Formats: sequence, C-alpha cells, structure tokens
Amino acid sequence: MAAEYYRLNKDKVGELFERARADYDVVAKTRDANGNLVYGRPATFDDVAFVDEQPPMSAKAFALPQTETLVRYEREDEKIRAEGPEAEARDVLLFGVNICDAAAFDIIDHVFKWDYLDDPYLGRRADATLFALACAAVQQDCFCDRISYAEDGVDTVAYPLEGYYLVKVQTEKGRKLVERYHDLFDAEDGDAEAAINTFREKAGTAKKEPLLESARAGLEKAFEHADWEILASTCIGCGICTYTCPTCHCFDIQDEGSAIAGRRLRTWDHCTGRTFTAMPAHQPRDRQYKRYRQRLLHKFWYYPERFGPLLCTGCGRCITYCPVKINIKELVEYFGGLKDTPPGGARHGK
Amino acid sequence: MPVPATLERVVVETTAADLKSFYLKFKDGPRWDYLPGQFAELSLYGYGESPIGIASSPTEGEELTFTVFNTEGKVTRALHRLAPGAAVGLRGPLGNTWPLEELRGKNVTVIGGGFAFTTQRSLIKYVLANRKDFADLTVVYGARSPGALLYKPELAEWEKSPELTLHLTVDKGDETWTGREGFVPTVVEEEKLPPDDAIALICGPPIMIKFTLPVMDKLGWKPEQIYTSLEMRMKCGVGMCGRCNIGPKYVCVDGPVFSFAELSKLPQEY
Repeated sequence: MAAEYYRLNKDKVGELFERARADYDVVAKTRDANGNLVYGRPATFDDVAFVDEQPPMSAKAFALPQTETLVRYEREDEKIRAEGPEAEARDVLLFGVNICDAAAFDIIDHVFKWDYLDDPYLGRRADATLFALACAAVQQDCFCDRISYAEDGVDTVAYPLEGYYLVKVQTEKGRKLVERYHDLFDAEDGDAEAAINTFREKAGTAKKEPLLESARAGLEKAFEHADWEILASTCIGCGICTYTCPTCHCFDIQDEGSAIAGRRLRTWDHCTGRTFTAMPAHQPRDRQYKRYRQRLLHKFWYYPERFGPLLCTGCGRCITYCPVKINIKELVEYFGGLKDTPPGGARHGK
Repeated sequence: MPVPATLERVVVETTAADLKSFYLKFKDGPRWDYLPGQFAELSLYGYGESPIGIASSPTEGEELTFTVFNTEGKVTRALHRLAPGAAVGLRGPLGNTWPLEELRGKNVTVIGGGFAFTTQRSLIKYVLANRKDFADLTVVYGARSPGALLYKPELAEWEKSPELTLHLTVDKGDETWTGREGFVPTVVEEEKLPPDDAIALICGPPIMIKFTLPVMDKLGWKPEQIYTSLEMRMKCGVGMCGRCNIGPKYVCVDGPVFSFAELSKLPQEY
C-alpha cells in the first residue's frame, strides 16, 4: 500500500497505549527490577519507557523465542504420543520498538519461508503489529545510517517532531491500528517525507555512502584473506553478538527429558561456538577466526545473495557488548574493500 | 514433526559392529517417494535427531534402509541399542538427489570408500532396477579391511553379475581375503576409469577424495562430470537453522549432492 501519514499529539500516546491494551497483547520497553531496559509487558503507561534508547536485547524473541517447544512426547512401550504445542492466537502490538529491531523481522522472514514454512514463527509474525519509534539521536555504536534496509515492512513508524509524532503507516496492519483509534490521530497535510528527511538529518540517521551493501563484491573475494586470522582470532566465541542481534536466527534442536517423556525444543544457537559445526570426525570451521568469518559473511554476503537484504540492521549491539571489542562494521569495510587500513591499524602491525 | 516408523530388522554390517543397517517401515500410511542421494532425520525422542543418508532404493519396496555408524553420539548410540519392533521417527525425505537426469543414458561410475557408500548403494540398486536407462555401470569400492565392507552378500552378487563391473579393494586384507589390496585412488588409476560419456559419483573420507581427484584429472575427467555428497552438521534439515552452509548454499536443501564444478565456486569450507 502507499504510505499514509498522520499526526499523533504527544499527550495522546499514553491513551493510545492504554486503549490498545484492550485489543492487543502490548509489548513495550520498560525497566526491569534491576533498572535495565527490556521489552516487556508494562501494566500502565507510567511504566512504559517510550524513548529511543536501545535495550540490550532486541525484540526478536517475540517472533523467535529464545526457547520454544516443538513437540511434547510420551512413550509407553513402543507407543509414542507426540503433540505440537497449540498455536496461541493473540494480536501482539510492539509499541515503541526501535526501528532497527522492527525492521529485522522483515529481513529474517525470508529464511522461515523459503524452503519450509515455519508455522510457529510465521504465525507469531502474522499476529504482530509493529509500532516503531524513530531515534532522535544515534545510539552508542549503531550504524543504521550505513545500511539501506527497507523500513517498508515496519507497519508504522512514529517520528518525534516538535509537539507531535508524525506517524507513517506502511502496511494494512498499521492502517488497522490507526483506524481502531482514529480519534487519536489527525491527518497530516504537510510534506511528510520532507519532514522525515529533515528529522533524519538532524538525528544523524540519514543514509551515508558508502553503504555497507557495496562491500559485498569485495567480501566475495576476501574469503581467503590472510588477515581474518589476525583480526578475528580475538573472538572468544561467547555468542553475545548473536544473542543480542535482532537478525541472528540460527537455532539448535534438543530433547529435554528422557526417552519416556519430555519435549523437543528449539533454542537460539550461535555460529561462533566451537560445537556449532563439529561432527564426530570432521570440523569445517576448526579455528575461531573461521567461525567469526562465517558470522560476518553470512550477514553481508551469503544472506543477501540468497534473499536480498543484508542480515543486519546496524543496531550496533554486537559492537557494544563484544567483550573483546570486535567491530563488525570496520571489518566489513576492510574486508569488503571500502577501507584500505584494517581496524586498529598500527596495533596489528599494518 | 517426525512420522512414526517401526524398526523391522537390524543387520550388523561390519565385524567391528560399529555399522548397522536399520530397516524401517512406516507405521501409518505408505512409504515416502524419494530418490537416491536423499537423506532423512532419524528421530529418537529423548535423544534427538540425526541426519542419515537413505541406503535403500525406491525400487526396493516398502522398507527404508539406513546404515548408521555408531559415532558414540547420543542418537547413534541409542539407535545401535534398538531391537526390532522399536519405534523410530522419520523426517524427510530431505535434500537433493544424485544427478539422475544427467546420468540417464550415460556411463555411471561410482567411487566409494568406507561407510560413505550408503547412498551410493541406493543409486546402484536404482540403476540396476532401471538398467536400460543407463549405459555401463562401474563401481570402485574400498574399505580399510574385509570386515569393514558394507553389504557383503550384495557385493558377492555384484561381483558375479554381468550388469555391472565391480572393483573391490581393501587397504589391508586378512587370511580370508583373496581380492585386491590397495587404496581407492590407486585402483582408479590402475583401471584407468574412462571419462568418456560418463558421470562419476565419489563419496568417502576426505583423504580418499583428495587423492582420487588428481588421478581423475589426469585421466581426463572434468569437474562438472564428478559429483559428491557432502556431510555437514545439521539440525533442521530444511534450510533454517544455519549450520550446514557452504557460502550461500545450504547443504541440507541445495545439497547434499554437488558437482566439483559447483563446489569450486564456493568458499573452500567443507
């Protein structure tokens, strides 16, 4: 659908949240008991952090839970009873989600439907409406200005302008949301796209060349580059980059329980771990730098070759939380030929 | 979700008993349609799933055969303890097939080593059952010792059969072995396996493939004439879980069968 634009007065946001709670299972940013920012289910708008600050964990768990049951089983002699979990039908509204988290769903949708339709994921996805809040300032390590990912799949984006939110509606689900609470929204008759562009320039989130998409040609020639070993060997394989990442979707399948009763579950996994590809007699990624290389190339070469978009929204969490300070953006620029000097240059004797 | 099957019988294939063939029959409904080269996830609740090549041929009847090496991992160890009558789950058939269209009308050359021979057996049975669709069938099969050869009764039949030429070899024979001794690459070289109008399917330990390919190159084989089946760690088998890839290819869906011409275009990571 063609985008539509509305105004939402800043003092109406609380009412929108409260009324939406009657119709949706509303997820929003809130502070947990330790004061950490998380995506949660605040009971009142007073507990909602309607801010652009990025929580350490992305919002992906609402479509791809950290752990979910695939099958519950029970065995009596050689009779096995196995049942999948019942689909939960509920309309989720992700209220005030960061754009980098919201846009990730559209990117990873591809992998859950290209060969096999993953009903649990796709069901949760179909039931979720995204009401994103645009950042008024760049966050610590983010680089969404360097990635041209489409925001088109984000149902609605609210841009905080002077006195009101400019709400851009991009999908039918977004339109349904606005129609439901139409008395809270006013028509926007100004040049909305110009206002958005001005907002982005000011926020520092306007796109800047060279975009990281342009690194791919270089990356396709860089698999055997000798510097992977130097620059990626510091990776300790902890996996924090993948767990906090809104687009990392690789998973493991494990049985929990006994042969008599238990469940088969799907759980997040990470390519930087040693066991990810280890087989009894063979290990294709037998060194840590090869495992890190897989993560980077999956995001900036393999996935876009296969499905189109980069497997990255530039949220920067993997840089912020990396205990050994590996910077994926700088490595993409270097191995992709956008920069001649490796990150940390002199430190690595270059 | 895996579909239920019943273990009909178990055949111990090797003297070390580390390889057994499991003959499975679907509990509800007919057998899958599948083709040689495909694999399935064998599921044992409480232990997990393991991706295993299908060793039977769709021309063989209602049973599905899987020859499984006991890696002492959770699933294969549990499988090796099963007795007939046991319930086993199956998810599949998964992956692509040996290049049957390309093979039609051509000379078929099978080069196998060790226990990677399983889906090649499926292909051999398929060719024998559709004999007129293919030209010459030549099989080189090697194992470490006579006791490590799979499908021994069948090998004995094939040795006598006019339908195919079988070159059996073992690294080291024993007192009962009257056949050939030597490595697979050497046999390929000595027999001068001809590339003319032929497609080769090679499967075996990496070291065997590494030394066989240069021999084939010398004999005039082109990378696009040689296919292999890759083994990678897998979980989902349906192109999602993200661990079996070689570059942009998912081995579970785009493979496991690739030609060396295809592999040469991918990152060398397998």
